[in-house]
Amino acid sequence: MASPSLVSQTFSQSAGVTDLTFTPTLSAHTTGDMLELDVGLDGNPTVSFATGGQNGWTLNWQLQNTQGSTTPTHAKLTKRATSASETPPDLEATVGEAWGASCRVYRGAGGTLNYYTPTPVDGTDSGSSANGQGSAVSPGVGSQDFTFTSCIVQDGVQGATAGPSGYGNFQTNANATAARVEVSTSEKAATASSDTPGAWTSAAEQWIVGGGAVWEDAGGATNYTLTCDVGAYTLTGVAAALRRGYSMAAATGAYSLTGQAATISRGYRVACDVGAYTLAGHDATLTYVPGTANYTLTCETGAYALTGFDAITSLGRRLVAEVGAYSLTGIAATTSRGYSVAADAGAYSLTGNDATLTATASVAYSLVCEAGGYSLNGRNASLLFSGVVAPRRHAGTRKNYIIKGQKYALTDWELRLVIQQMLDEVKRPEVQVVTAKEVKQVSRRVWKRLKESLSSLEALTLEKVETVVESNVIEYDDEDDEELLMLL
Amino acid sequence: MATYNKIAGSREALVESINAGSDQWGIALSNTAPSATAFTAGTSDLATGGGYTQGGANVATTTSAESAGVYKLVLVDPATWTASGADIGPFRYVLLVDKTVNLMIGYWDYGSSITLLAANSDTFTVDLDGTNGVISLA
Repeated sequence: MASPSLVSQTFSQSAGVTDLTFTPTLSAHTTGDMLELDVGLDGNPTVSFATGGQNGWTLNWQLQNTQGSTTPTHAKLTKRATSASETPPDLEATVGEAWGASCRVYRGAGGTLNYYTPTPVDGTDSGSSANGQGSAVSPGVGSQDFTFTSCIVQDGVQGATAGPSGYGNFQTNANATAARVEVSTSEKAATASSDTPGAWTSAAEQWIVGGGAVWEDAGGATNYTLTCDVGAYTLTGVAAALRRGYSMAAATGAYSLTGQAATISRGYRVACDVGAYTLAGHDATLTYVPGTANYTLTCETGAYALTGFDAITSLGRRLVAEVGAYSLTGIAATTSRGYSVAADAGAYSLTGNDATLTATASVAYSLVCEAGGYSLNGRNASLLFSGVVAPRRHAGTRKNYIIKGQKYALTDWELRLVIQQMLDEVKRPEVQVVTAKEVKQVSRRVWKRLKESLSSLEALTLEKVETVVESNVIEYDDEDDEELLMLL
Repeated sequence: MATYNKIAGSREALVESINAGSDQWGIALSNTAPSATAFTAGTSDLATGGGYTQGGANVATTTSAESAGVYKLVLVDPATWTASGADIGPFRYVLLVDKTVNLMIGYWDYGSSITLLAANSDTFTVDLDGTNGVISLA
């Protein structure tokens, strides 16, 4: 197929220098035509479609020149016309600037027109020198009948005067105002697989060159193939600083424990129980020998000693508890683990509580047992006997027998025992009854009753014995007894 | 061969949102280079028409494995699109889409916009790398 032809071209530009939104003017076209739109802006704004303003156009690329100065911006848009009245794109810039645009219309022989444009690179396809030059154009579809296009956008006044070598149909918007941007175009028909355009003839000014290629399909289906490269991702870890293996050896802690002196006293008491004493006499052997006068019984003093034991009490003991010193020693604990421990110094305090100790008065108790004194009083004894010899009255002089010893007051019960024992030792033949007429031996009946009566007396006293004897003799004896001799 | 372009946010998506081995992958066509990972059928890609279904074509996973310290995701080539009844396009970019979570992670640039003419039954074939896969992780 023959290289597509440039059938029309229209330049448009901003009226002012602060356009945020603008719409380039399209050139006359018909269905199937390839429309190529080059837009240049002063400064370095970014261009995009306004909302709802794409209208089927493709924004192939845009470049902001930063070489020498941050100006201009060059954008290339294309669209295959599907009608004779295509709607231009509505564009907007990030900064209101002056703009200029070139719309070129390419037409083929009825076949499908294709377009290819490489994305320019800042510093390669842009600069600030004279005679700007763009990169090679390689559509990648093999050798075709191409129409290679080139467009240079420059800041300021007209700077370009001719297209790259071999490129013809040089066109420019001939901007004569420094505050605006200049757009110049040129084309070249060639049968090749690619093209490397030469330099533009242009004055030194900030510039951006963008190239393109238009070709017509040979007819029939066009089979496009895109061979996709693999996307390579890398994942890099970050070294982590690890701490481990710390161990802390805990040294032995020394503690001092000081107590408070405690005074302790206690009251001791001794309870003295009542002491029990028993008085036992020794048997006295009494021997009566008939015919012997002046019988005398000499009773020696019995001596009793009662000695108590002193009760030793000790009160008022004091236990002085001296200040105690305590030492508490711990055992070093070795810890080793991947943890760090900050052990602060421990504070310990031991406070004792005051001990209130009460001391009671100490009294020393002692029991001094004096020797007991006993008094034994005898009664006059009349000793009578009957027989060949005329009865004699032996008036026994009352004797007072004093058993010297420790003083002791016999209880009634003890006295009763003594009397009972004495009575038990007296034999009936030894007992006589004195009457007004005679003295005779006490009768058996009387003696029996007497014994029985005396044994029933709980409180046995001498007075009672005498009363009992008299009553029994009077009551039971056949004779008039007036006296009874009792030998005690 | 078209260079793979990583979309901003795709690395995070691969780590946090995507199960590459089990998710449903797709290849879609668009005339706009994606700048974010969110994918909406019919908006992020071409609308349905002329033999193209919005959302793109589902592709099977050949392998999703690591070997010799390199992980590769190898997908089957999508079916060739043939314009019929209406033109398909224009489009310029081929999108790699995780259809399970509706996230784009990368794209390939044809270099220029093309339109598949229904009148000519134009076709478009995407040839993925059957050995190195669509993405690798080392």
